Amino acid sequence: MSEFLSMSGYGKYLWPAFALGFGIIVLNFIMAVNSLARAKSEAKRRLEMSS
Amino acid sequence: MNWTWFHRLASPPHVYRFARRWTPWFGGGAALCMLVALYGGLVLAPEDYQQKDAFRMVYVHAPTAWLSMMVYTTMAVAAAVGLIWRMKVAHAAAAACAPVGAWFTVAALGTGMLWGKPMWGAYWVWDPRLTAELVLLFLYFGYMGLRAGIEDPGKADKASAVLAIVGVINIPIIKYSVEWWNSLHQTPTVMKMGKPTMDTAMLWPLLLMFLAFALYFATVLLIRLRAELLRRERNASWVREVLS
Amino acid sequence: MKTGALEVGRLIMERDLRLAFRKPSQLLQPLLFFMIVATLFPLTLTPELSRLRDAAPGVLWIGALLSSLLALEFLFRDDAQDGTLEQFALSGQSLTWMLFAKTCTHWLLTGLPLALSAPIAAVGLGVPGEAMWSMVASLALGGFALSLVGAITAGLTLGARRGGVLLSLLTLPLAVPILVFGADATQRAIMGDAIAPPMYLLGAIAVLGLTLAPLAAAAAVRIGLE
Repeated sequence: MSEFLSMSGYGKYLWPAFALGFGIIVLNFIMAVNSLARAKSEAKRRLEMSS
Repeated sequence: MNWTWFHRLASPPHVYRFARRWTPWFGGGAALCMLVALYGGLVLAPEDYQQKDAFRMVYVHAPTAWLSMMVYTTMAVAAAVGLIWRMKVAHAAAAACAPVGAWFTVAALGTGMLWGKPMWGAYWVWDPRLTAELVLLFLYFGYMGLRAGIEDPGKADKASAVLAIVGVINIPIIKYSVEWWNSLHQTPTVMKMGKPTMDTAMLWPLLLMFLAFALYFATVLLIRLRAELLRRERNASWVREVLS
Repeated sequence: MKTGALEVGRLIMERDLRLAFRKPSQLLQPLLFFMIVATLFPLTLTPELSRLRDAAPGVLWIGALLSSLLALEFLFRDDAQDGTLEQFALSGQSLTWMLFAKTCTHWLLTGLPLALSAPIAAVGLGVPGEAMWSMVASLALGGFALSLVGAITAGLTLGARRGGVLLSLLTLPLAVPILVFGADATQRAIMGDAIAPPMYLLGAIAVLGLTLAPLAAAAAVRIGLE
């Protein structure tokens, strides 16, 4: 297991790289979902105000 | 040739419902492919002769870099479609692409820096490909800045579309810079005509990861596109129906 | 009877030149800015000419770029404000051609004088005399390409809030190739090497810009005028 983590000594570059890449993936997904949720609630509010 | 499918693409409610229906499938597919590809790349693939285990960073760096360019191209194509056929949905799609593409560019630059340090000894070198990728990030910022700076939404759509199209010239520069100039960055190994020079056990997780990232981009794009369409369609009746 | 294209171009150039010379101070400002920027580097880096010579290409080209960004403000602004651009768009003549004429005049008034006066700044940066003509040629050609690219971004930012900052933000990425090859040409000139390779590339960019930039600029201006 520790061999896996150390990745022939490159672990301290490799794991941050994966964390960065997949962190951004998770972040973007969350931001997209938030943006949709906000758009939905704004649209609901507008519809209620105009009706 | 039946063009109904194309005309349907111009209809916001149709696109919205399509996006809502297909997002879970694209998302699930992306997650599955990512997990399998990660296992294949981090565990199954043998270590590289020269780079040892460091080469495994390709499984995160190459897809993010490829996607940073693919998203820009998609954005430019959507912008062109919006300009030529005056499709609001196309402009909305272009707007939805921009933040995603910018983040992928950041990821590509960041993972590239972390790979460059052990391999080249430096976090950053001013070689043509890296410089052009940095320029790509500035182009994304410029696109988003121009959109934000123009009040009228129709004008903002069209002006940013022109900018996106003008900036497309940067994409072939990024892609071919390693062939045109002697540079530190690795020359093409996967997309070469003919046989790729990578070992099969190393190659399949990479190809699967490309697919995973493409599915992921489709997922996020469809979600953001839905948000864009809702924001643009003020009081249309389909919005009422779709939200209930 | 419709006016011929060459006639239209000539009229526009004459008009712009005449208007520009009514306010000569406006013409001098970008030049002065360039000189000041070129002076700041020796003051902040080092007074040693031999070390300044290494930095000279970068200093000259960054100064030229920043100065041209300033000058780009008045490519379309006055004409947009007083309705002339709208008249151009409605005139039935090719807006692309008219904007190209304006861009060429703009380069004659800003880029070319900058290139010709660059030796003054270059002397202070340790650039040897033999390199001067090559440097001027590269700055002139690069300046022309910059004006072309700037016409696009100036057109795009016509109606935008805080257009000045946005103009710089949009122009800089597109100007990177011009900067890279131009600085390379100047560097080679200082070293005494042949400047042909980067000059050809600069020329290619200028030709590409010549054919495509006015089209994009016209599209941008039309969008802004809607």
